[in-house]
Amino acid sequence: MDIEFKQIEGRSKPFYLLTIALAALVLAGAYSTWMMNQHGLYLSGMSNRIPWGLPIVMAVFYIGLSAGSLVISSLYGVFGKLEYKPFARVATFMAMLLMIGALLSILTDQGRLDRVMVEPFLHFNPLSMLSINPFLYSSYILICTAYLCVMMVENEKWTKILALIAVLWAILVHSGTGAIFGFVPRELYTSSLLPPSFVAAALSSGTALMILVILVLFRLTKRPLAPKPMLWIGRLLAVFIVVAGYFVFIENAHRYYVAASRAAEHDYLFGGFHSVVFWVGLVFLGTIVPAAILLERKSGNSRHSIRRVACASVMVVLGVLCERYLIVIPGLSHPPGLIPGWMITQSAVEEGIVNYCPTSYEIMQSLGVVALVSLCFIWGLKLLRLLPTEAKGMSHG
Amino acid sequence: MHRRRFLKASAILSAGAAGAYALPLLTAFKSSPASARAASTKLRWGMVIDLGRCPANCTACVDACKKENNVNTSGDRRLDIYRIRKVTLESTLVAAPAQKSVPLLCNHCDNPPCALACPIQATYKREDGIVIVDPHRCMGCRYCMIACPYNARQFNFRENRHQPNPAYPKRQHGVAESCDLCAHLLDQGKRPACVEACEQSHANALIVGNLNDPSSEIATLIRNHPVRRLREELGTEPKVFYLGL
Amino acid sequence: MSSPRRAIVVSLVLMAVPLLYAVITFAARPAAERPWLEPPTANTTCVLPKDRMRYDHMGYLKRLRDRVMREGRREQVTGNHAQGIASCRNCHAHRELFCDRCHERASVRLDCFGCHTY
Repeated sequence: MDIEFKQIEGRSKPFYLLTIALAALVLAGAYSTWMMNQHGLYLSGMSNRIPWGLPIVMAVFYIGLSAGSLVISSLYGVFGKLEYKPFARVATFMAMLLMIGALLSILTDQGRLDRVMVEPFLHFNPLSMLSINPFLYSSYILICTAYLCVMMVENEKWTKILALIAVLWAILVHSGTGAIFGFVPRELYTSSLLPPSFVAAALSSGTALMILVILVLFRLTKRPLAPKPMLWIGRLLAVFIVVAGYFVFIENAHRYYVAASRAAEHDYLFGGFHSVVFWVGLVFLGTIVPAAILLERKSGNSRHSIRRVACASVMVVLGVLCERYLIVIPGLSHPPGLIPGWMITQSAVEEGIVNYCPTSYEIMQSLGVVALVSLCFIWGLKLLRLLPTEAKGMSHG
Repeated sequence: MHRRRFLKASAILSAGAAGAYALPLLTAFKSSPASARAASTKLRWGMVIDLGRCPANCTACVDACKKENNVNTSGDRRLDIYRIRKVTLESTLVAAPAQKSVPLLCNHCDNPPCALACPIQATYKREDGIVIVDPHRCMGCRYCMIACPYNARQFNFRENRHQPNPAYPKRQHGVAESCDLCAHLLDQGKRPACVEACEQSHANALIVGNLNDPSSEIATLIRNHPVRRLREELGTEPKVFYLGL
Repeated sequence: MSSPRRAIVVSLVLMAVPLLYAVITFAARPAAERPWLEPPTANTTCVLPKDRMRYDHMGYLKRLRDRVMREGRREQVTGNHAQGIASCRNCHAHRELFCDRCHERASVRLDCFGCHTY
């Protein structure tokens, strides 16, 4: 099938306005990062009890989105489904940018930026999850770049090989990210299910994001898009949502059943802000409703169905953001049971359950990273031949 | 065809991963200690805290530690650093208000999760068993704080210009901090500030010694009395023993 | 000349201008003079010979620091040198007239004195 890839025009007024707006956000993010690095992280909402906050939540969110974006390009590269070839380049480019955004989020969160550039290369601890993972992330970026390059030069043989490597590497990346949290001895962190759960949530959120990106791009650039491949991906997304929901269910059921973690899990499920985020954000709006929408076999016109798929995708992306928050923060806000049978009533520092609220510096910094990724994305669309002129789909897959 | 492609991809993948990982591995173990050193394997520092002798309202250890290590606290319960802190415990099992006053500090585990977690070996266990943060190397990723199951580590969110003890450095912001059993004093043959202060206030509740020396006071105490460590089921092998917990 | 080719030539010329400026001003720079450093107060020898100290003081300090901190070997920080980097003050009294003079000229930021008092 001969597909012509063409850049977007990128000369319209909305395009330039968007560029300026995003650049302003990037500058604001750079400013708040500089302030926090210059004056200290007390400008953020983190504390000794909750040392990781919004930047890390966003980082693991981007990592998930990045690997999931690769799903669509792997449908062509690994499984040879030609009706997804039009989207392969955009998906891989998105995967690359999102992973760069994740690394940027982590980098700007460090206490001493001058040492982050030097020490990990000089004194590497091969056993630390925080060494293994950035190694996986940076190599993932290189693999995605190589994959995009071979796709641009239309080298069929190497496309297939690199697509497979990229997918396997993505699974490794996600298991590693899950292990950052799952291999730590905190009651709401330690779990062997966190790595596969991470993979499942990544697949669902990344696929959902790519659906939205493709729909929006094709609509804005007025390129024809056949609905059938999108609807099929919508059903694939439903499978991913169900699997991700299964992992969440098993993990929480286990934590509640076993006496050692029951108190912590009870607070997590029924006590406070986390519970609302969990039940409303993750379970209802993030899993049940989108799965129901996508699995419904309504034979309406496809435009209506596309709208339903888009709606479900938005919900899934937000639901997985809630899940990333729930992986990072509640495990830190719940206190360790240091001395069973005894409760700490008086202390010079925070004990018991503590709360976390991001400050404007953190929010600006995170928005800056979002804006940078988006800016690079839209200018990549303008400078590189990433978008197909049309995606009519084929009658047989 | 499919299988061959899969095998080829996996071969390239594993070779690439091994090759790429080999490069950082070359620098990995460079910072591990080499042969002859003063912190020898014969020495293994531990601490016993006798809660029966620890008075409820006494904070001598806390104040001495702050003074020795130039730690400044400003009453901010979220961000203040306390290398050692006193907490009041109340029983959740019996109705009568049974209270205990307990000092909590870094337990200097033999299997420290923080040292395992630190990506650049800035937090590591010395050969003499002290778990210490190298403030020259720490880059402030705070993973050690996440990994510590005792919440015994803190972070310098702010710069600290306070220096009551001119022989010890101040602190810049952005590095992690934790009790190091006053390693700079132990290396000179002196005792940690908290132990010294506890003795001077006539409580004598903190005892530091060599666990590998069968004749030391600490070894005798552990042998003859029922001691307990915090969260022993985690397998971290802490070396701070509590008497009467 | 075609339009893209012209654009490339113009950009190369524009890029060459600051480069040429840098090369010419660097070639015509005056001879470097060592800044005046405050002489040591005590009439003793330093831990290393002067020339070796000049090029290797950072390496020496790093190795010393790792030996004292990470390995706990304190045999080199006894007596007159008991305070590590702050002991330099025993002979070199003012860092602004000694350390900073070369470091500011070479624009090498000193990280030590953020924590260590000189």
